[in-house]
Amino acid sequence: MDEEALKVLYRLHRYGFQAYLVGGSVRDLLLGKVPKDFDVVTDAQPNEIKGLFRNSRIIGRRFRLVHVFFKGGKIVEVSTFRSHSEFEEIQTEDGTVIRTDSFGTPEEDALRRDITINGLFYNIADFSIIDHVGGMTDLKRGMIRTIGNPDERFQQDPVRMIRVIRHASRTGFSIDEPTYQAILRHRDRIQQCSLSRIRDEFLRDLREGVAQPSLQLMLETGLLFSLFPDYQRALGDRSPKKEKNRKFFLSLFGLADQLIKRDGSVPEPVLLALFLTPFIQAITPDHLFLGERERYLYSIQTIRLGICQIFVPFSFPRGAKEMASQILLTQSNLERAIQRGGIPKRLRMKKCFKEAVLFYGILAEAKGEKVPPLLRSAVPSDLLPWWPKKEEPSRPAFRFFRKRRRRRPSIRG
Amino acid sequence: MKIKVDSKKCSGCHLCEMVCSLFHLNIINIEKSAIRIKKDDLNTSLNTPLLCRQCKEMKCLEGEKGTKDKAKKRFVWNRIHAERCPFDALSILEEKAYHCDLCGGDPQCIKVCTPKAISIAQ
Repeated sequence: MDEEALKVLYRLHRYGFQAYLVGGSVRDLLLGKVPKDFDVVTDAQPNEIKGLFRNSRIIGRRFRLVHVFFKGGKIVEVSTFRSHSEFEEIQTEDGTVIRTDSFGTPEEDALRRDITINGLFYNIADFSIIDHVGGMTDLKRGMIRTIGNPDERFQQDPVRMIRVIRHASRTGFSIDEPTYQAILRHRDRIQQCSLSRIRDEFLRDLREGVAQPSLQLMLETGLLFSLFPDYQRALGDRSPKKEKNRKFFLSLFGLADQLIKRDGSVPEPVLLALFLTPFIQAITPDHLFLGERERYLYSIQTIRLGICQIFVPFSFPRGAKEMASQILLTQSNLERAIQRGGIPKRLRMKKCFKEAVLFYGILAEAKGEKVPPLLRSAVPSDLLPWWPKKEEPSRPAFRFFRKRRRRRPSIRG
Repeated sequence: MKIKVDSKKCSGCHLCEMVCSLFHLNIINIEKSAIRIKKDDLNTSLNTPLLCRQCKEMKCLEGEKGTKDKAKKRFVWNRIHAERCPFDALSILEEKAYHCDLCGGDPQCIKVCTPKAISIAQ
């Protein structure tokens, strides 16, 4: 376990407070994985926690919690037991929303969490697991289940549906049947949520290396179409090549997941461009009678339209959007360069050249095509793991024959 | 016999779609027509009429039992066959697909197409 998290837990315990490790860290430790971050809950109030740790700061306006900072940029998040979630809003009769810092008991804190396997507490006082929500049974059964009635939970905060899907894909567990049915019933409620929250959760799905199973579950439940209704055209029932398109879309993210697992990350613009690919393909008709230049201008307009329709409502970062569109636009330039047998300098000097080749490589692999050596030699050879290793050119047998010097005839006088 | 398409001339009036569904099913429903006009998302005047190309090697019926000539004369097809078309030429609605049977030799859509975007090719 993390040394810093233990330090926080023991100090709180020493000063007479209850302190438990909670959330994803307990789940990961029980599953034998290495947790990414450690969350601590306690009965100490934020001001009291701040008093105990000099290296801490109170953050949050509505939902105040304390970040304890350590060397190397490590942060341990310490929060006080609460009775309801940050995103559940209580409305009075006249419709005004009450937002309170509602402190509660450990049981209430466990019950406010989204899924059972995330509601486990680890108590350092007696090294035991405290389970108020049946998380241990679900962990053993390999089941993702919401805490409480799934219908109510999804009505209170529809973003929980995305989280349930993410946890199911991350752990490989199956979703409990009532929870799954509730997702089918409430999937359209996702549109009522704050778009920035949806965007953040969605980007986490793509970035964490479990995008393929997540997107597959989103397609199965129809949640993807509630989030992006325009995708009905490419992957929905009305698309003539629904199955083929879905398979291709998922294989793209299967390859992206492979890369994330190897390198730790794939640039966000590449992920956005991959996500946009099936939609762009669906809205681009083949106007074969158009000239080459006209078709290029047409594709620029289509890509811009795709970005406007899909990403603009969620206010994705402008830089990432712009780079994603550049990556998509560069594809036709790359194809032309391959046909001509040379990559012009102005193309190689482009800011997004490496990302564009990465995208080209993923797309080619998903289609079962090969990337020509010309393109592979323009970027680092280990950019994609499925590329053949660069072979050392065998040294030609080269013999150096020195011209034999003629011995001078000795002059003896 | 097959129907030749000249996308440049198509005005996107949807008359061909209407007459197709009217002739075969006695209803006017452009979604239940064997021809469909793919409109442009960019609001340009580029329209693409899509319909069965009457290929000699029918990829859509590859590995199927029964005569292909019989299937060619049918208007309503199974969705699975339509999904196999390499040109996305068949219209799909729910589990059914609509295939151009050339109206038994006298295509109605050609008669109503005033810009002459569709014509008969032998």
